[in-house]
Amino acid sequence: MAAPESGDGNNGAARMVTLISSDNTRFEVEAAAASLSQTLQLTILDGGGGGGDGIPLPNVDSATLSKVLEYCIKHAPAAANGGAPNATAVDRAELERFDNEFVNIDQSVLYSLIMAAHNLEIEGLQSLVAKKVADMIKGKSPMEIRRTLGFPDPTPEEQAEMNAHMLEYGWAYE
Amino acid sequence: MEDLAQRLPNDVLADILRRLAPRCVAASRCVCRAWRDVVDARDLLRAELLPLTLAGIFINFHCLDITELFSRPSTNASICGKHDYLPGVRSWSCVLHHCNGLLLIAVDNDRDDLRVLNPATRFCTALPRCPAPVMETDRLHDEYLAYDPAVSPHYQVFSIPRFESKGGRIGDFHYDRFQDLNYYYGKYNKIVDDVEPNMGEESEWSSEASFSDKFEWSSDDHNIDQRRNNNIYKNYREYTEILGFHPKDMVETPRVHKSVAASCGLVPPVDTGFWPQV
Repeated sequence: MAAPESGDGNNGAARMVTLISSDNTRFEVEAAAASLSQTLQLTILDGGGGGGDGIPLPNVDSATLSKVLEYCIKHAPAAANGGAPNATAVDRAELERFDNEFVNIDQSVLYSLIMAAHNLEIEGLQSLVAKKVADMIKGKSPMEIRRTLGFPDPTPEEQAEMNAHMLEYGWAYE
Repeated sequence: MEDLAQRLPNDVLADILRRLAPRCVAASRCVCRAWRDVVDARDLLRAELLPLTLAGIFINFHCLDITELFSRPSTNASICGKHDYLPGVRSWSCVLHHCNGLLLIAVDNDRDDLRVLNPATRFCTALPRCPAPVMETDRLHDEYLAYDPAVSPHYQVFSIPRFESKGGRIGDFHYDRFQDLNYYYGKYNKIVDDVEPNMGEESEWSSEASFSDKFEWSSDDHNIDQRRNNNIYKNYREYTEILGFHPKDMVETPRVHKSVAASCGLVPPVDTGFWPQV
């Protein structure tokens, strides 16, 4: 069996792959960055996405994909170092700053990112957006969570269930 | 957008909720039915870590050998201050100590008949008789209960001798040798049986003892109004009173730092239950 291409193989110019969003926009990106996606990694290792082919991503629109790739490009060098054990404190602080700013976005964009990170299986991005949503939920009552996340008003039935909950757990929010 | 928030894949939602503290998970569980199902299906809500409501308090009145329960009549039907439902108990017993909903009781105030009781479930175990500490004199000792359901289903009972001052006058300290009462996080597990009180020697912690610095206190350092003390503390006896156990530390009353030593009765696991939530 042929050994898979080494992850940190920087033989000459970095290999590029093309990703195609659901609205047919083509993105050319370094293979190392796109490989942060578990979903894409195998295809790329098999030599896919190069040349004029491109890998179609029918679930991700171009606005979301460009955001996702922004994350991947930023994180690719650290990931290539195997989780960056030898990264300097400055590098780590810079990545952290980038991450904080990266999720400081509209909720609709955030949801698109959550779905894209989930579909493309980009581990770092998944936990980054999950943490962001968890922070939005933290310390809130059920009703406040609904409002924060933009749920529609509860149906009378749901309202009754929430009232019952407040009777049981209301002290937890005091 | 609203649809998106409600249609998060279960895996994604679970990943988000897993990052929350127990009480936030409790709140999230009620956001909508889909969220509740995710919380329940994946067992994300660890109810035992939620803060418990105060259903009532036990009070020991000075000079009374029984403990009385104070609670709102409406909220607390299953917990009874009287322990006559226990075999061998005529009516009341004395609560010596408590920890996280478990009680350590002395039946009919008999210190040789100790039991651990969960008043909510009425589960009760009699403790084996505490092994007599190796002491030069017949000392008084106090029993304490340590129990943290978030760490272990086991509880432990410590028997800690009182070291009373010989003088009977405040500030007249004899320094007992401190024994190390080690226990390790998550285990509460160290038995000290090498109790050798060494009267008159300066107190010292064993190097392994983790909860206090070397204690130094001479009565000369303190401006104690002896006249006042003689009135108020006529029958005062100093001894360490332990308020409770904490995995990292031991809480003592600040006034008297006398020695602590422990022998430990390890008792079998108890069927845990909790005070009812209101």
